[in-house]
Amino acid sequence: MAEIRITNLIKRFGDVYAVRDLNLTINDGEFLVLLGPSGCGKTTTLRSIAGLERQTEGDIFIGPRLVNDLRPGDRDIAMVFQFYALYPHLTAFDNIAFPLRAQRIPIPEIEQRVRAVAAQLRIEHLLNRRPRQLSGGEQQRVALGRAMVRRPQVFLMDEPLTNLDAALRADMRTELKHLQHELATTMVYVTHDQVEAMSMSHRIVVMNLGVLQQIGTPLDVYRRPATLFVAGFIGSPPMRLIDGELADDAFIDPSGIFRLKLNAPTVARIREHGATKLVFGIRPEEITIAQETPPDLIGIVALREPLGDETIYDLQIGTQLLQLRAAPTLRLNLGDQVPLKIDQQALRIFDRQSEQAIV
Amino acid sequence: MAELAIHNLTKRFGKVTAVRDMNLTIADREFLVLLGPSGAGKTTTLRCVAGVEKPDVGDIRFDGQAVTTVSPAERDIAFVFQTYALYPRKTAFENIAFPLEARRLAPTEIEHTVREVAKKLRIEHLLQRRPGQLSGGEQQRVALGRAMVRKPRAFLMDEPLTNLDFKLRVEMRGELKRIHFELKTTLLYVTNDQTEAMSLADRIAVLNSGVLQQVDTPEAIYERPVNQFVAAFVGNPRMNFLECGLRADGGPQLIATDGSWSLPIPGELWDRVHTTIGGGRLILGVRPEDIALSAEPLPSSIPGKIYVIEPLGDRTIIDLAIGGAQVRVRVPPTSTDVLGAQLWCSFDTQRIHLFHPETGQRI
Repeated sequence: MAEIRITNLIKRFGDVYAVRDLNLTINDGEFLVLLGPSGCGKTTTLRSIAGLERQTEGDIFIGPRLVNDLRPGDRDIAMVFQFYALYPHLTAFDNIAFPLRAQRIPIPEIEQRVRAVAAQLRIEHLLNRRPRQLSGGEQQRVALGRAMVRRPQVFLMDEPLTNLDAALRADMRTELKHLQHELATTMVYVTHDQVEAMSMSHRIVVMNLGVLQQIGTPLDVYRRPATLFVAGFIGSPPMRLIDGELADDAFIDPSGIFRLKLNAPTVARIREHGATKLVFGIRPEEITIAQETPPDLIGIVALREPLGDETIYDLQIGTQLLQLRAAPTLRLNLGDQVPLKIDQQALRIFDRQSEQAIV
Repeated sequence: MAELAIHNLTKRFGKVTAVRDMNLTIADREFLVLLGPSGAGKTTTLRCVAGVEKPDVGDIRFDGQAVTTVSPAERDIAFVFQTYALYPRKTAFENIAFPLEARRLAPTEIEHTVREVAKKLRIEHLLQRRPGQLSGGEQQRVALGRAMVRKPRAFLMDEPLTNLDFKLRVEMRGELKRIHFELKTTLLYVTNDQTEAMSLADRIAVLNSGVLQQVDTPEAIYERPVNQFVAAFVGNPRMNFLECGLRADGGPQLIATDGSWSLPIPGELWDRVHTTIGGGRLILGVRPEDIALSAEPLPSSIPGKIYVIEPLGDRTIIDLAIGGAQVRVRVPPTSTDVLGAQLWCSFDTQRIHLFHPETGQRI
């Protein structure tokens, strides 16, 4: 177990910056997720920690050791790519024992360590089976066991759940999170899937185009996105973002039809900041149907998406579209005019120029 | 525009039966989604409707007319795949106009038709660009436009959104639904994504292993799945399943196979189940949003320990260990319970589902 410290990390491929001046401390025992779209620099960062890439500039510490010049094999890490790369001709036991045999560990100790790992993963009864006799989820646990058995100081995982079907992915998320909690081993996990990042991590690091956007707990990042990029990347459906400006204590879009009165503290904060071109952001669950009159806004139902446990409505206000997350029992029809209440505590305002959050 | 009917369709590949005796009618102007895991037979069904595959048994009918001997091109349908296959050297306008030019329509009519379609797709400002200058979603719309100008009798779509990133996929979902609403055309759509199916479809046809499981509205599929397969496949997170049996002493109730919990149920339901399965086992299904959690025991609540907490922003999913089983519970995002803590869950017995342990059929 160890803390990982990354200081002023830069990685260039030719003229292209894959990672730009990254500073990041991953706590001992933390489950940290690097999240972003492809090309954001998350995998390059992970590979630099692993020693599979040599950074152009900057230092990486694992525990107290500066590991810049250490080979991957000497860094005491376990790198897991996709989970089910098992040896098909070996039993589950032999698959898990493989890294220990390579280290020439005595047989009784191998036996004991494999059984201990299998108990933690609840696969003791499957140890004599070969991979094709195992379900997808069981295979994943065996692969996880093979990574665990070495007792590395750090787990590094690069989109290990990508090729699984949705149900299995959800199960593995749960298992992985539970396991990391029990092992308390530092975990750095790369994904482009915001649901994975939200559901598993202690903290999320959001990256875009090689630049760190925000570090925070899942709910921090969800509720208080620091940049427009984070606001649009996290959440399903994502936060709705509308361009406009401040006029008479209200936010209005260019057409003037979308007009929302803002409360005094929000207006004061925008004035203090000084930005004129603004972006208004709101999540689908922060809009409700107004009981009092006059409502904040009136939307026309443009689309209804029933998802079973909830229904998402697209509401048109002039040329803008907002989304409303509603209980499945609420039934609105296309074309209905709906009075809306906006949660003033939850709404966000960004500076269009800097793309940073103001409120 | 047309009604499509699939009549006693069976399609084999060698020894493998891809589709088994399927009967399904897609109403004129309906948006019907074929939903199932890979290997379910949904793409084979679509390809039979398109005429790209020939049925071994049964036929395909458009407005009551069998088209089994009609070639794909003469069926007058548009087939949209996940890859768009646009001509890279032609502009968006020229790509969309292509089928009309092949029909030698007058230039003014072509111009008019292309602009009309572009307007519906909201790509009027992109018509002079080449595919390389368009985003994935824009290319997708151009491909749709090319299909639309022909005014086909029906659209067939095979996972058209699969290659798009998450954000774009959600956006295009809305667009597709809106476009269907405007075109008022029959649309048969294949996907393995249950969210896509729920949000898009007028009706969903769920397939598994070549066999049609259920055809119904999204709400009905979600509320009353006909079997355990449908129940498990539709819904995210998926329905929880617990093995249990019946007990009569102490009032009508379900009791866990390992004895770790029991749940009183209405006598009328108990009787119905007993008639079906006798004293045997059954599967209790309950959706994550139909379970309420409490910090103290309530009448007929079941104790569980927190296994994992998954915050998703707009909601939190709590995994609870109940005896040897696990259930997922949907709670509001503010919940701050800690791992290992003891909680009690109350199942909404009005909304539980019971399935036969062998056949998986709803009881």
